[in-house]
Amino acid sequence: MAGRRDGERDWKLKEAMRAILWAQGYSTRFNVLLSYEITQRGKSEPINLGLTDLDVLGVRLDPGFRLHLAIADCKTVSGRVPERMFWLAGVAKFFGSDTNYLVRSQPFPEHVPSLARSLDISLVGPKELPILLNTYPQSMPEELYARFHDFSLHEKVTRRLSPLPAELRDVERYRNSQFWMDPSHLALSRVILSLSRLARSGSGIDATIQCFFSDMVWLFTVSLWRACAALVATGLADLEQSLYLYLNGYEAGTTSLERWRRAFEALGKKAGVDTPLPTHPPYFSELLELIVRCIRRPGATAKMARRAEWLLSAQLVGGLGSPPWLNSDDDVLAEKLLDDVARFLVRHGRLSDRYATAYSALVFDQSQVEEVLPVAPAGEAAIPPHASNNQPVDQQELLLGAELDVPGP
Amino acid sequence: MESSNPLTPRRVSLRSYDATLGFRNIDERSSALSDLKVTHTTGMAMVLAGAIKGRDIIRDAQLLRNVAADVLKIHPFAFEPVVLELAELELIRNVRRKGGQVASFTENIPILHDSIYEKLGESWSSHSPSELEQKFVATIDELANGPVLLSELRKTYDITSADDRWLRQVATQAELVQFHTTTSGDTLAVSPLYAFENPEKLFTLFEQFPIDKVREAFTQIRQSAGFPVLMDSQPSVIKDILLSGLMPAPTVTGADKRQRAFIVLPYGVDPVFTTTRKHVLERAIATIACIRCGEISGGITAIKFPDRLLARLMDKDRKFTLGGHSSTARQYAPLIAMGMIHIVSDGYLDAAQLVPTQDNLDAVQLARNLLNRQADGMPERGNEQEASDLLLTGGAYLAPLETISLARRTIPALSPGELSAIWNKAAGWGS
Repeated sequence: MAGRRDGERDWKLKEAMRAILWAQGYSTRFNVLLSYEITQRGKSEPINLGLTDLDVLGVRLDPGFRLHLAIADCKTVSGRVPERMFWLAGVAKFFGSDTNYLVRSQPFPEHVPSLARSLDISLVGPKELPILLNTYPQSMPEELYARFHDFSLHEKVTRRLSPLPAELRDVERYRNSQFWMDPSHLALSRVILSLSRLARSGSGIDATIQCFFSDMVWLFTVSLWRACAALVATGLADLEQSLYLYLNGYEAGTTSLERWRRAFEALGKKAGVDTPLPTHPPYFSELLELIVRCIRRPGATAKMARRAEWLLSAQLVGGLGSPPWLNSDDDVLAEKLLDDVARFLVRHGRLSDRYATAYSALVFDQSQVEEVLPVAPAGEAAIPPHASNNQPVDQQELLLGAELDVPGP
Repeated sequence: MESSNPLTPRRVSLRSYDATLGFRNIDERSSALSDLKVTHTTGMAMVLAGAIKGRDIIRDAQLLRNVAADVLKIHPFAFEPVVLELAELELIRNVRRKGGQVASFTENIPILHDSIYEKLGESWSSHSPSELEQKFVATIDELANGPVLLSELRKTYDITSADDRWLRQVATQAELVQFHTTTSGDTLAVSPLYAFENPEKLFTLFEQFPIDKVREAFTQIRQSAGFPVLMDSQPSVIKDILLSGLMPAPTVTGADKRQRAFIVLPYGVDPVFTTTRKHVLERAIATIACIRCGEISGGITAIKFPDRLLARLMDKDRKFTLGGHSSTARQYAPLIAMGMIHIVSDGYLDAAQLVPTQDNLDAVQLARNLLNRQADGMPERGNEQEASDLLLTGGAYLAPLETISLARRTIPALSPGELSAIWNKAAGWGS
């Protein structure tokens, strides 16, 4: 029972830190699990080896397309502070976070601040927490603020997100943990791949699946941010080539993929199939369009993740309605971009159009209009020729290096 | 004569666009336009798409409707069908209505690729245009490939004399075709969208050579922006076209020390490039010649990706400079002579650096468009940019109502033939 009470006390710290990060402009996530999968001899199913979890994660994009990650370790227990600081510094290095908070409900020992400075950790003790909470003005009504930041809403979201059917265990694992463990360039294709597995499983649309899809939109948004940051850093003059390299893990990954492609073509020839295999994933041109649209609108792009987070937590699960903040041009454009993302994922994850329709209904406040025209009917005809996935999924997966252990950088 | 190219969906939409710009010269109440409704709607959809591309959200569709009416010449009554056409193709989404009218929508027009042409072209076919309408688009497309004798055109498309009258009337009113009588008495149909250097030489050409040979030469030239002709090659129709000065063709010396002329026949470029900003077109054509020379006779380091190279030349971050090369001075000689680029040193090698004036940047961009589109201009010459800019002014834009009302009062341009046809239909005497 003592452990449970400690956990409950931790929640309060987590709630507070999440509220602070949100006020600072971050999109947030609780309890991000970092884990590896290992396959044990004699066992058919891989087992999940949990390493650790991040109590609160904040993700933010600045208009210069630099991604900022903040992590917070929130504990009510006293003691073991230096050990936890070294742990936090290690996690920060692995995760690439640029702001790292150690949050405690008890005052820190006197020797800790100098170590914190050396390890680039921000200390938040019982005195600092209320100061930080009062530093940033809140843009939403008090009651809404309280409900949105209440940890019970997070619990509700967690309950709604799982469990997925047994055959989707790997998809669930990807959402929970693997997304954060993979090199960032793999995330774009693996989110699509996860959704296509969801589509193949034939699971009907229910509340869980709709929540899951909405969360995948959030993850894909973060992946887009990472891609934009990488592409802006390497130069925008030839985005097509830069994206191609990025998706494959730059030059080394591209060379490796090319080698695999040639090997497959050679195998095909031996099997009597003499056909060139594609060098780009089937969604490449549309992904490029999506990225160009994001890069053209830095302010709006930076707001996408928060809007997606509100959509899942506050609208879909919490029933709190549309975002209470003022709709600036960037807010409106962010909603449009998010809708583009959802439709892109539905199309290329080969999910039912109803996911996109439901997402659109939430992302745009449709209570203000008399009628919203339906989108083009679902089906093959709506898929433009360049986006049609004529090749079998397995082949795409192989080419994307998702199933094979393709050596990369 | 055989049709030069199959009428692909892409070509259908490009020609619908050409036709729609021409239809601005015809009174909107003309019956000719109602006979070409499918083509007109497809063309207007392309025009509107060009104006809203990249805007993401159209928050005030009624403002757009006014701008479209005034600037893009899309009739307010045609606005909604055009929007719905684009929505059906998922080029716009989330169309919302208020008071029974389209209030707002989001746009999803591809920014980087041209799939919109295929989509709209396929949609044109799915709307089952009449046989006459199909012949009309095929004729405009045939002319986009090069001038053609009217008699050949009639034969190829099985155009009856009634069709012929109608087609000639519409095409002339819309200024989509110019007819010239050659000395042999034949009628030559020419698209006014060509940027011929010396149009009068055209007739000599058709008189000197068999029609098929001339058409073949035009098709070859049209298929490649910067068609190479060795200066010491045998006489041919293309060589004669080159020597006549009908089309612009700068000469560049290749790595093999041989001189080649590179013929470019721009089609449908923005009229400013053939009038007030002709110097920009000349620079673009010279750029194409240099790039093509580097592709064909660039030695062991031939240019493989022309568009990337030109993108680099426009890249401010790279100081508008290409990588060093031992043949820079030879290959870019025409551009150096024009003062468009100068040579800078890149280690032991010379590198080409663009003099980044607006004209030069526009010239390189135009060269990229022409290279990527087989010498076709971007189909965005119908005030789309102006309309797009006006949308930025938000609700402050007011339609010049007086002008519109004045335009409404003009008597519809209707020929006696058209009137008889309408009457015949109304009286139930004709179809």
